[in-house]
Amino acid sequence: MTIHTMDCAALEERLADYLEGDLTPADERQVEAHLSSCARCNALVRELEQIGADAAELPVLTPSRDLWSGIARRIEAPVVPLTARPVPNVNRRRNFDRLRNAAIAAALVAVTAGVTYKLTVTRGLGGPASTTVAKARPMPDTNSAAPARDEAQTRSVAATEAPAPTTSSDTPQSPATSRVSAETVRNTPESVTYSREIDRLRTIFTRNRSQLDPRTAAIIEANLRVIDEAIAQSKAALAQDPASRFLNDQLNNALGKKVELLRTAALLPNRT
Amino acid sequence: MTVATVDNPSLTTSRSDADDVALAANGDRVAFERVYRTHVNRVFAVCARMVADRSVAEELTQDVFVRAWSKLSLYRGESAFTTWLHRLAVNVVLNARKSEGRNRTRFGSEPDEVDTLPHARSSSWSPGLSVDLEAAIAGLPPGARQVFVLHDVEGYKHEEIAEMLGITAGGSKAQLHRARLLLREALNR
Repeated sequence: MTIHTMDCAALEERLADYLEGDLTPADERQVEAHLSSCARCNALVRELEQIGADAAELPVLTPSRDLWSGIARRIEAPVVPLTARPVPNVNRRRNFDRLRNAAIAAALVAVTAGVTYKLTVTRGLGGPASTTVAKARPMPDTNSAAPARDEAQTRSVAATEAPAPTTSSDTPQSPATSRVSAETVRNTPESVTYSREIDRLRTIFTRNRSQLDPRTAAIIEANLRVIDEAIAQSKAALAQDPASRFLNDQLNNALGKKVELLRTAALLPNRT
Repeated sequence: MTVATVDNPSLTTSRSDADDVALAANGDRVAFERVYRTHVNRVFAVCARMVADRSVAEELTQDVFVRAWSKLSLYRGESAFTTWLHRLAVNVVLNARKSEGRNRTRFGSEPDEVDTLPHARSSSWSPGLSVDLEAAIAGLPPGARQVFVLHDVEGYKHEEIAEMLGITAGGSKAQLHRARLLLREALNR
């Protein structure tokens, strides 16, 4: 078999494949023929092979310090704080969706409560009986099946909503609402819980407001105003018809929405 | 080659280590600390050689074990734990490098374009002096260094490296050859 001679440049072109064992047998023989006659290329190949062999024998390395304490801290169960926390950008859309949904829900509550209020007032204006209904509780009307505890519960919740800064102070009260005074309503555990939760979340939101994107904060406050309006209207309607389970539900729904929105706001990251 | 030992569970994973891995997968932190103690040097070594910066490598090593803790329940024992952990370490390093690369492109520099090496610690190469080889590896351009470390030090195949780095197997071979030539040049100075 004839083996064509190969110059140094040709060898260098094929050197990578030779070292990887990727050459055809014929090409491999050409390379080896050149290596046997060229000391320079032979030294090159030996040195490159030696580098690979030495690399495989490199010892393991040791960190300069014990890294475990840092790892142990990081694998502790994560606690999500209620204050601002960094969130990936992908959550921005989710937060805006939540706010939008809360706004839609609040608007629905407001419209429903408003319509109910109008209907109740219209019916109440029909004669002096309306005042009587409000005063002489519980009047067995269309809602006579509603248990008395529901009434007490709802009115308690309505009364304890008062501490929230924007609820009663920001919203004009109807004369009917004013008749349901805090003094006449006892605090149930539910109402205390509602009140405490709203106060707590509002405090967090107020504290973090300056860290939020002004546009987001404005959206939250606009939504809170809508919900507060719904709460005020529900209270006013309940003052006209304290035994109404429907109005009861409307008020509870609005209070729940307020808690939900405030909680979402409290969990928002900085500048979202 | 390292890969031979990595791929053989009987050589790399003792019975107690396998037990610790299983315990750690069930949330036992004490067992996980033992796993850490067993593997930290190897994980640190691959991190240090790939990034050529020991302090960065220490941070990355912590990242590797934090990631391992969170993913340990997904380890099915289909490969040796050492192999699994090693691959995880390589991925952590490569992801860190991608992030670093994104930041670097803002400033328009790309160290991988460097075609010559800084001098290795000694002026002449003596085979067997690993400290010189370490220094020379640290001076390689990042792309060439990663391929060299993964192939010649860690024993991965070109196809595996290509998959990890998002390049072709031919590209991996070319980078390896380039790395070896640059190392030879540095060691012979």
